[in-house]
Amino acid sequence: MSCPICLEDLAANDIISELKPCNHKYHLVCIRKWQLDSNQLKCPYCQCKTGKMNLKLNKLNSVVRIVYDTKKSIDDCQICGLKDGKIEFICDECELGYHESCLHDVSNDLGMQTTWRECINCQSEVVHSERNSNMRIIESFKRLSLQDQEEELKEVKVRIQKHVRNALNNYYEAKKITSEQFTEVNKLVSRHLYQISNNRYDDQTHHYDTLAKSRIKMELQRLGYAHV
Amino acid sequence: MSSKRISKELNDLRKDPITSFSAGPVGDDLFHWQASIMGPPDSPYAGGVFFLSIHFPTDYPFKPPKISFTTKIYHPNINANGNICLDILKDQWSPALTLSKVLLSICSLLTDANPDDPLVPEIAHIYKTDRSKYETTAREWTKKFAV
Repeated sequence: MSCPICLEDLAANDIISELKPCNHKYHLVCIRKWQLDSNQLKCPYCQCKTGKMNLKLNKLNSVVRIVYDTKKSIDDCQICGLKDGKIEFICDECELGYHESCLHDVSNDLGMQTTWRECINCQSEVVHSERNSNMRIIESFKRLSLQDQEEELKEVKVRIQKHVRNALNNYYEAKKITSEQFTEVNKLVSRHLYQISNNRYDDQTHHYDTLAKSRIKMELQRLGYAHV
Repeated sequence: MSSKRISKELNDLRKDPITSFSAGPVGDDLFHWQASIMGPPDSPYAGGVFFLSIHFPTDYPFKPPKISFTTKIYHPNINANGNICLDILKDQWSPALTLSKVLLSICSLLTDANPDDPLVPEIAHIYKTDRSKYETTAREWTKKFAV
């Protein structure tokens, strides 16, 4: 018997797929290429509408290992090569998707009903795509909100520091403090102001200019930098 | 895969020749063939020999071969350039079709034209309204260009 696409024999070592319901047999690579190229699910030989592709493993194939050289997409089932229905299982290692029914078919063909939950490419356990995608969404959401928070905090710091710098400038311009002392006091006072305003810029509740002035005075006296 | 499959078809044609047509590569180019079709006996093309030019695409059999008549023919589905209006050469192509099956389809198109999906509307109109006029003209063209 020969493959209707390449016209070569369907040999014992070849990976052969049998279409349902017509039972016409093709080399897996031939029929998969045609289905991808033509984007249709018809038997090329009899034109009947086919369902998903069934994998037939011959006796010599102790390990199922099919790596498609075409599109490696998480949207395609890596066994039947199609997107139809829901891709229920995903291998996190290889980022490959599977129909649950296709995984069952393969393990049945291999006579291993119990270990159907494994990736055909790397043999690691596949996880349910829904759980998987939910986790992905939550993780990326967490990452995003962390980034947002950081951005926000930076802006708060800049706005509060502006008040502190303004107040400190008077001392600096009058040459009462050095630039090193300016930086040191700025840090101490600003940190204090972030804390009392709870890391938010809130000039309704807090009068930052007054707060900065009095805190600077206190710090300068404590450190003995200037007599004010 | 394409050149392997084309060679396979060529070998099959040499092993089991088909009486109604012959086909083979032009020179050394496996992707360019020439074919000749005998006008079907039960058609106005009887007695004529019609030549066709065939180009196989590089992704054959996943894409159909390009086939056109090089002999002038009076037919509702074949135009002056020799282009053929046949579904299996376009959207109904299947990789399970072979050149031999396609050429047989072209033979039956000569016997039974498809005037409802015409390439030359004028010929299709005559075919539908005045069949004997169509047959006479087709026979004249055959005598003039294909004998």
